[in-house]
Amino acid sequence: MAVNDQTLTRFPLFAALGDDARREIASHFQERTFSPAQAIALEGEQCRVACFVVRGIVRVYRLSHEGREQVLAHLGPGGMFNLVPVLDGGSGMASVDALTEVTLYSIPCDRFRQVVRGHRAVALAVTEYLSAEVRRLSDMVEGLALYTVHARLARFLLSQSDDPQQSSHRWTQAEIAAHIGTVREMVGRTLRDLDAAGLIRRQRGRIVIANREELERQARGE
Amino acid sequence: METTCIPPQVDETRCTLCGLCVEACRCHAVELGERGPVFDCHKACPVPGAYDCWCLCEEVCPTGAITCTFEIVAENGA
Repeated sequence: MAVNDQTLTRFPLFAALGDDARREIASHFQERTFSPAQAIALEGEQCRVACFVVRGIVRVYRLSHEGREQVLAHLGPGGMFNLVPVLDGGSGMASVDALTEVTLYSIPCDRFRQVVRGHRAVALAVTEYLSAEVRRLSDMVEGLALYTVHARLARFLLSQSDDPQQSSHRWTQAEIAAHIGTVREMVGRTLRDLDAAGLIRRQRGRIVIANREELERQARGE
Repeated sequence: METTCIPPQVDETRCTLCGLCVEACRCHAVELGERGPVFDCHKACPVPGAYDCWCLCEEVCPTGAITCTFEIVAENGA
């Protein structure tokens, strides 16, 4: 299915392009739809397309041989994935599946590389995007390597309560465990510890941040 | 703040009928059915409408068959 070139303006990579250039680039995209829980990409497989999320939410994750997941990102509209393998020619860095009904725009690898080579604005935007990803993933490594589960969970709770896009998302302990690099049982125990300390409470099916200041101290590992 | 509690969800294909969830539930809201646990949190909640337990049923389930979902909000958050 052909794509709407105006929709491409939602993506930072194409926002600075003129109408003619954007229309030409849009002609190389295809629209694809996925159902909740449907696999979109698999870690290690050959990458054929760069993907841009138009609607819905996808989960990007790595899986260990023992079946433990580490979520790298949840991407909503405006998000993109597979850019690294598209650019370096390597295999897919992570698995991706649909959390909701998802609409993606995809562009073949060789076409995307042509676009990057042919449009300085796109090349610059790709560089900025990848720089931001290096920062974000470095922060994630720091959290996983240098902070306790208590601190990582505190950081996670604070970040989610601050994010208006996530405010209505319903989390499970297993999902949180996959985000902060631990196991479900540890999330449950740590949530109860934070509750006992008066930092959070469970109320009407929600986790309420009850003492933000102290939770921020925990998040800093103090 | 509206009530948004959704009872625990059960994946009956994973449930081994071990009964740990029944033992763990402080509200006595769960019974073991023929194919898995059956929850009645709405009736059993000690403080009607509070839904303030930490879902030990999910934590103790050895096969991950029970899933509780929750939002994360700031104090006074919508």
